[in-house]
Amino acid sequence: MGAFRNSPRRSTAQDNHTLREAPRLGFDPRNLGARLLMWSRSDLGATMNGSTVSDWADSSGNGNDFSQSTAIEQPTLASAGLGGRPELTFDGSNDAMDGASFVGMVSAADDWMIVIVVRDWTWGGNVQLYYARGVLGTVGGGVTRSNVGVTSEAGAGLGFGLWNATDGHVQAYGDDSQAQGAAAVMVGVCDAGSLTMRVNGTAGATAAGTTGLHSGATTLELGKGNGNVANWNGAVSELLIFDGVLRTNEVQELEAYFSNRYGVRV
Amino acid sequence: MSVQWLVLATMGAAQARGGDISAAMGYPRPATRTDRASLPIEHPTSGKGAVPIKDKVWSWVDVGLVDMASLLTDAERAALCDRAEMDAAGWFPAPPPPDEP
Repeated sequence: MGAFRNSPRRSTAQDNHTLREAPRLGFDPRNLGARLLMWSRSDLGATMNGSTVSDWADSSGNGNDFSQSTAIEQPTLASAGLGGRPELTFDGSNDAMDGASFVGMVSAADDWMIVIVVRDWTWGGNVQLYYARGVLGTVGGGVTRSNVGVTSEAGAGLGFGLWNATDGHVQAYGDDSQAQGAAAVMVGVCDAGSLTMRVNGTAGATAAGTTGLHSGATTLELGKGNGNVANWNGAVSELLIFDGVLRTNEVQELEAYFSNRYGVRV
Repeated sequence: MSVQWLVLATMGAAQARGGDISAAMGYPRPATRTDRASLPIEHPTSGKGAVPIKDKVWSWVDVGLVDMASLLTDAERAALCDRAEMDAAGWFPAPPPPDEP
C-alpha cells in the first residue's frame, strides 16, 4: 500500500490536454437508434477468389453475408475506390452476389432503411426504376419486390422502391441532379410504409402510404436485384440495412460519416 | 466485359461442358468458396443448354485472369452467341407487365 501511495500516477495538464485532444472513437453504426441488420464494407470481410470476391461478410454480427460461388459472376475488388479505399466493381453483364432474405430479417415490413455507397455507375435502360438498372434488390418470384438502382438518363435517376399486391409499384427518387457515375451516398427510408430517397444528404419527394415489403421480397441480390433489371455497372463501397428508421439527426450523422470516409460531398 | 454463350443441344451437355471448363480453370475450389467457373442456363422451352463465357475470369490453373473463350475449340468459339442472338432465340423471356407479379 505504501508503495502505491508513494507512486501514484501523475495527472498533469499535459495528460489532460492529450485526453481532450484524443480523436473521437470511431463512428459505429451499430450504436444508432435502429438495430443494424447488415453492414458490409469493402475494406473488410471480402473473401477473395483470385482478384474477384466470392464472399462479402456482414460486419453487423448477424451473419447476413453476400456470396457468389460462380467465378464468372463474381465482382472484382478494386484497390483505389472512393476515399482511396477498396470497392467492389460490378461489370454490368452478370456480376451479382446473393444474400439473406430481406423480408425475413426486418421486424416490420414497413419500417427499414437501406444505405448504400456507390460510384462510377452507368444509366439504366428504362425510365421506370423496376425495369432499369439495379444495385440491390430481391429476387423472390423473379420480378420486382424491392429494388435500389438507377433509371435511364431520361428518368428520375437514383432511387428505390417496392412492389406489393396492395400498392403495386411504388418508387421514390433522390434529387435528379446526379451526373452519370457520380459518387452517391444513397439512403432509402421506408418509414411506416412511406418511401423517401436521400442522395448525398438531400431528400427527394416522399411516396406515401405503402404497406411495405411483399412476403416475396426474399433473397437479396447485390449487383442486380430481379429478373426485370439490368446488372449494376459500377462500384459499391459500403452497404447497411437497419431494422427500423433512424432519427433525422442520426441519418445526418451517418451521412457525415460517409462524406468524411469516402470524400463524397453531402 | 460482356458475356457470350456456348449453346449445346441439351442441358446435360451444357453441364458437362461447363464442368470441363471449370476443371480446366481449377474449379471447384473450396478454399476460395467457389464451386465452378460458369453456371449453365436452360432454354425455357427447347431443352437446350448454354454455358456463359466471359473474358477476365480468374483461373487457378493460370493463376491469373483468362479469357474463357481461349479454353474452347475453334468450332465452339465460332459458334458463340451474343446477347442479341440469345434474346432473339428466346433464352430470356420478356419481363411481365409492371403490375403483375
